[in-house]
Amino acid sequence: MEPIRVAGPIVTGKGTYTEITGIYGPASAGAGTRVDITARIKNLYSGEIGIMVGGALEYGVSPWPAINFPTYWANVAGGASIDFAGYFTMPSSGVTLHIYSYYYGGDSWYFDDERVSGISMVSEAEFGNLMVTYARV
Amino acid sequence: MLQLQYGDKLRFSCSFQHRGAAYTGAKLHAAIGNKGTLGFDEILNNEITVSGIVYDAIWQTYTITVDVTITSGIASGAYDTMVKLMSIPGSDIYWYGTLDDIVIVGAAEFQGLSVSYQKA
Repeated sequence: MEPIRVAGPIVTGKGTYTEITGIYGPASAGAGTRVDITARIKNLYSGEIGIMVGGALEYGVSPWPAINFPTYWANVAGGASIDFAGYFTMPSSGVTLHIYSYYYGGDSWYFDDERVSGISMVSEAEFGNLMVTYARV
Repeated sequence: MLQLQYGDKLRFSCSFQHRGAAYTGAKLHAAIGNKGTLGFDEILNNEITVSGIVYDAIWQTYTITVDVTITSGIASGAYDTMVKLMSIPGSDIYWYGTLDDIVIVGAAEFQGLSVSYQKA
């Protein structure tokens, strides 16, 4: 299957045809654990177009490691949103996620929108909400 | 109010929540005694080491039971209960039951002998 091109005039720029409306995942994660996230992207165009997702992790290393998106593009109906599931391994510090969206127009993918979100590092166990009932046995 | 006799067990069904790094060594300590202004005076108790606390980024609930056997080490009367989650990062977490909710009916007791007599 080929991505569907934008039929109208191509105007490059952030959020011209797509908008990243949400990045969903844990607020924090432990080092070395798999972190699953979801990037929700909306097609702002009136018709169906191909939308691609990309992502990178910013935490002090260069180049920024990529976020894995097993399915990284899809044709999306006009006005509809799509969720792209991605994952990465939590480094030993908090990370800033950079999520990018692209649309397909004229044989190429065009960068269109970016959104960032943070995931903090869980370094210590926390306990709470002790509740007790008792009975004779 | 719960009445208990010697030989009974009082089962504390405890739940708590954890998030973050995996942890070993947490303990649940349950006691029967008297809650006073200076703290909790324990008479009978038991302690369980909690295992299997794994990493999770979000709060997860763990449920553990702790049994305290009622022995002659405690006299008849009304008592209080206390459970604490201890050996964890930060301060211990306490739970207290309703005051005087546990009544120990220990050894057999008799009272109230009354007698009348008449010519038969």
